[in-house]
Amino acid sequence: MKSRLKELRAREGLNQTQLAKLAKVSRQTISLIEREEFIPSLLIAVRISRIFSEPVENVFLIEEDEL
Amino acid sequence: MKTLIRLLFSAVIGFVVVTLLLNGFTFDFTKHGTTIVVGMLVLIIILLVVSLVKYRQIINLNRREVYGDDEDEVDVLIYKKFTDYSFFVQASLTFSLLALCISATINTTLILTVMAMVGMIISYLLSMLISHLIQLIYPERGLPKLSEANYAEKLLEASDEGERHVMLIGFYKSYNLLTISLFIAILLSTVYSITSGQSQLFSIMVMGAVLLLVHGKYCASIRNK
Repeated sequence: MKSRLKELRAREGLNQTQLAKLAKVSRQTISLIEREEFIPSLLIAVRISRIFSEPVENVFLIEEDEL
Repeated sequence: MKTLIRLLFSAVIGFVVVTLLLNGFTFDFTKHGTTIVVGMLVLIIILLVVSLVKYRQIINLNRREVYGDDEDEVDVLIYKKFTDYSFFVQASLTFSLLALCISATINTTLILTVMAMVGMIISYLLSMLISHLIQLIYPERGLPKLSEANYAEKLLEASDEGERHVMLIGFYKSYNLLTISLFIAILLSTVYSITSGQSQLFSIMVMGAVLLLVHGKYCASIRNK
């Protein structure tokens, strides 16, 4: 699963630490999601999407063969 | 390519060990006890000095006021240095225990035993600082203190899912390594017992018991989930 986290962070002028604080997770988790080494739970995915005021599917991109 | 290198490496080690054994090679650890303890004490001093340097670096980095991407970079650096610090302290604690046990088993001078004991006390005190460092770096996380009951469980609960994912990979790799290492250790101890004539039966049985215990605990943990 790909994510637009890095791009959206840049848009909002947030660094990983700031986004992590807003999403109530660690910076390590944000970094793992950005590097596509970890798929977040639905709860965290929704929390992150709300920070960027975007629907979940616009932040986390699931390809057809993954479904 | 990696598999090939591993195979080649294993073959070389196997060849060297078999050649040494066929030529009647034995290594009497009791004769070299003092040298081994002195070597370990030197290693402990180096590890303790490096640990203290890392500790100072973490404190200094934590005091720095940084913004933007620099804040992330500093956090990554602190995390890496903290992991290094934990490793060096644990390593010095292990070497101190080994040095103490060897000097107590083999007749070395009293000063070496005392030095090993001092090394162990300092290592233990530095290991206590791990919890203090966590509190200092992440004051907002509400992480448990080392003195609290069920510290390990509380720390796991306080970690988020990304951190748990990283820990799980680390633990699983360590578990596999421990299994293989104990298996090899049992084989080596058996070979050493045969070639040196000094029975390592007790150690072999203890290692076997640890192997069974570790496997049993893992299977019991996943069985009913």
